[in-house]
Amino acid sequence: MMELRDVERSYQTGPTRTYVLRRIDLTIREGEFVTIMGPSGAGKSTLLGILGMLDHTWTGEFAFVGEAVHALPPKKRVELNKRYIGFVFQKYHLIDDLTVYENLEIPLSYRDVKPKERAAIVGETLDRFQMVGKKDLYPSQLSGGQQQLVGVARAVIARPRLLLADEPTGNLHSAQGEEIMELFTRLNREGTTIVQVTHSEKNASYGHRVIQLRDGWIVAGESAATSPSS
Amino acid sequence: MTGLGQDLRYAARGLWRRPGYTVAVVLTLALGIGANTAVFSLIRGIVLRPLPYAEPERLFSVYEEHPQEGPRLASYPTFLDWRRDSRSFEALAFIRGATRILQLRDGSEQVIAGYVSPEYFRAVGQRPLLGRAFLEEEERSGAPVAVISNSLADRRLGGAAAALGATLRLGGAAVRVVGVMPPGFGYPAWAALWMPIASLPAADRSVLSARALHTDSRIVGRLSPGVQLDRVRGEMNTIAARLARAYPAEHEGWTRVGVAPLAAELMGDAEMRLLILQGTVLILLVICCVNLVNLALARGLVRSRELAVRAALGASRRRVVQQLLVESLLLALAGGVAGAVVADWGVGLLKRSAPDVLPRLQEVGLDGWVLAFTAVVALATSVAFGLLPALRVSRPAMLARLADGGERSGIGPGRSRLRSVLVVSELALAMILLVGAGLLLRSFDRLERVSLGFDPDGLVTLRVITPSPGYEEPGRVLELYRRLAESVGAVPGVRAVALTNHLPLTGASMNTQVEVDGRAAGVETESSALFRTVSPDYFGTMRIPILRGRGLQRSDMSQSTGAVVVNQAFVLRYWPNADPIGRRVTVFKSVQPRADFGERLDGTVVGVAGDVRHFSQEDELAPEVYLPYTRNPPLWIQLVARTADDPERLIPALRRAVLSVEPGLPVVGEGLWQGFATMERLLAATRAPRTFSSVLLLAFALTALLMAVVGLYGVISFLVVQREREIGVRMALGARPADMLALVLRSSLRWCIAGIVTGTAGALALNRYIASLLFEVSPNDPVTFVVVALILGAVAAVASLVPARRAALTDPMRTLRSE
Repeated sequence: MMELRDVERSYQTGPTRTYVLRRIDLTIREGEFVTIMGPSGAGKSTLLGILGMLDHTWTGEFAFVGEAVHALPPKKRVELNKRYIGFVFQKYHLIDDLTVYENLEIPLSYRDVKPKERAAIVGETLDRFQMVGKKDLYPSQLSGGQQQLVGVARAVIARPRLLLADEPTGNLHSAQGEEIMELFTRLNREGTTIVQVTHSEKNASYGHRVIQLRDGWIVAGESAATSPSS
Repeated sequence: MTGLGQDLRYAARGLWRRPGYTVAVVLTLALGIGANTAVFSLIRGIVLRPLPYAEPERLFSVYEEHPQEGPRLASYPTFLDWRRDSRSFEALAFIRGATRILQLRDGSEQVIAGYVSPEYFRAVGQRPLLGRAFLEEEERSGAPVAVISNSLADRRLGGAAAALGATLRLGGAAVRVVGVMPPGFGYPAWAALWMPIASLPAADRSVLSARALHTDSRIVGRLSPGVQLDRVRGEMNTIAARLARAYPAEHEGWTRVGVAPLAAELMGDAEMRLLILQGTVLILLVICCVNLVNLALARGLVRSRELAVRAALGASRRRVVQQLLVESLLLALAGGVAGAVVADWGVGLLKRSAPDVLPRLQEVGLDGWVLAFTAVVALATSVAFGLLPALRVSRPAMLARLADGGERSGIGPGRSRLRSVLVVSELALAMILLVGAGLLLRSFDRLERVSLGFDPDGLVTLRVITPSPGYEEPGRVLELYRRLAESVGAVPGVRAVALTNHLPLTGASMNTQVEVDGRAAGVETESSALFRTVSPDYFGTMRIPILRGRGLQRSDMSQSTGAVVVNQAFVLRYWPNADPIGRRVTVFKSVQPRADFGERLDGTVVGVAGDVRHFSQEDELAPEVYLPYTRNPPLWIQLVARTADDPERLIPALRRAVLSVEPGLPVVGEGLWQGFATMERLLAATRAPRTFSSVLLLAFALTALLMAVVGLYGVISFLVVQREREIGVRMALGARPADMLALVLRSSLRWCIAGIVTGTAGALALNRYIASLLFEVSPNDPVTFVVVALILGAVAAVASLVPARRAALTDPMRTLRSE
């Protein structure tokens, strides 16, 4: 589904250049459930941002569903995001001013889905995630677990082929976390490719393989490059 | 515009859920847009809206000009010569003004009637709204018919329809109303009604043959289509030169004819004053926008998480910008509506509180053009304060923050630079407005210090028009004046009473030629002075000092003594180095339309009075000759009384005193001159245009200062919050609160100095536009610049001190723990 070759991401800080990701080679196949792990500052979230087409200031080659992302202008990359990708965040990042229903509607409106069709999809999603009774509530009226449930529902509502999750259970207690991971497993079984970033070994065990990042280098996992320290 | 409806809905909800932010923005906009709308509605109603005349660009007022003495009104015989010899005018009309008593069931009123020559209505290009203009037969025979103004019909006659056909008692004669003019029409501005010039009463008809009479009239001409102004002027100057040769006594030196657009006469300097105000409120609007950009940037930063989420969910940059613009558009819409309400209220307030401060003010309102202007300003404002922050916060780099966990939140150097530019520019703009307002205030102060030459406190005056028939004989008129003065003088609280033909600040005056003996070398052989006739108590009542010799006494009122008093300016012009007492002066009788108009009046100077500002405090001092009023009894006279305390409270008693002498005298009326008026009100009226410009400019400048200071406060507070962690770390490392105070104040001081320097440059460049509004103050007056800079600096320091103090009181442990 995607292939990264020699991808690097750095910042200019004064006279020196600080690297966040170094020479990343990575292949993820359609239908995989991949976990990215590593200590703080290893570059996990940055890598997720690149995979999600949110970050455009990297170098290297990146092929996504057959498209050479590195050759595309940012506008086209946003199009790829819209067509194929859903995001789940650690802090849920629901929009405070919108109800549950409207939060779910947002990704569809950005994909120019007609209002009638939108209503049908949102209705079906609410049903599927058993949140019909909460559709008119605002995020502040929901528990953390419920908010993340909305976050996941919002991420998958446009039927993405790839789901990117950044510490999806980081703010939840264990029972709620398990519920979300079960949900991910089900989605994956239904065909959605999932890439999650987590510190939790337990969460990682739900996936097919683990990619270890350290100081911007892939130190373990498929396609891992050789660390300069090794 | 994909998803516009949804963006609108969500934007409205978001704004509703943040009432503090929404109200702050809408109020700021209401102020900026409201001020602009109000001033534009004045420009639209007064300057841009066509005058109520057909093809007003072809209308000109025509008058005589002298290379040295300037303009003067032309006499009726001169007008007839012009009309006969000129080929450039399609119609040329003469209007003679005369004050008349209009007797109505509910009391009398003074009105000014315009006696018009036959082509008047064709010249002004306006027909009556109801009824008709004069028939040829009526114009020839001088039939007692009148066309009246709409305001007179409304005010006293129950409306236009009721007035048409009514018979008025005007100056003791019956006059039939045959037409009512449309609302807003009024040329000349003083005329309440128009009558055929042939209907002038016999006693007044001498004005039709007096070539030396140059007052109380107007000439208006409508140019023939396609005639160029140069050609008209050339032709009229040729005619004037011919008249100067034919009538040297009256026309020598008056070899030019002024032809000026009628609009200029009607508008005065209103256009210039309004354009200055529009410039001012535009600057105010820019300051409002800068504040809103700052606010939107701060809010955008707070919302960057939400915007990044939206981007992650698939929103394109265009869509994010669209959403932010929709929000600012909604705010601008609300601000525009609120602004229109503010403008309507402001203009209404102006109309009520200062009805005469601008011409055509009563016709100003919020019409389609004004509302369209408001809409455009609101739209432009929404783009101005919405687009920049929208483009900033929707940049991919900003949206990418979410992807790396938002660890680099805070302000980057670019953002900080933008804020600095914004704060400096609003301080600079506020400085420009404050300097402008400061210069006007200094002018006002200078003007306040100009002595009027008399003491206006406690004075109250009434213009007494003698009723006719019954007072044609000068002896009877004098008797009436004497009895009136006596009766008013007996009112408890009145300290002194005097009579004069023309009181200072009432706008009335008459020049007389003067001949003096023993004039100093180099003084022109012929010259003029203001012709003042007064009663013996005049100098005492007005508190005009007698500098040499004596004032006029009761014994001088008899015809025999020939005593005259001149003012200091007269002495300086004619006998700068000699004693004026005992010198002979000849002036000429100036009461029109008496048969003895122009007769010689010989006199001997018995005293020198202090100079008086006759028209306003801004006048040049003019030579004046004071004679006993008995030597040339005026047809109407100004009665002036000095009261012991508030003259306003005495007015009812004064009215009764006047009516007890002659019940037919009008003692109330609409205008300032039509009833009793205190000198304080007359003084305020002469200052009104200056007061209007100064008060508004000052109000706008103070609002701008407030806005700029709020902006500065907002930005510094924001920076303190942004730098909380840095401040906490610095304090943990040993910095003292004073160091933190200085850290924050340094930024503020830097901006303030930059704002003052930029503002000074801007004010130096722009102040020449208000030079004409200044009085004895240079547009580059250093005192004003320094004082304004100090005020701006002090206010900015106070605004910075609050957030700086917050920084100084930061608890490092709390700040660092929250990390």
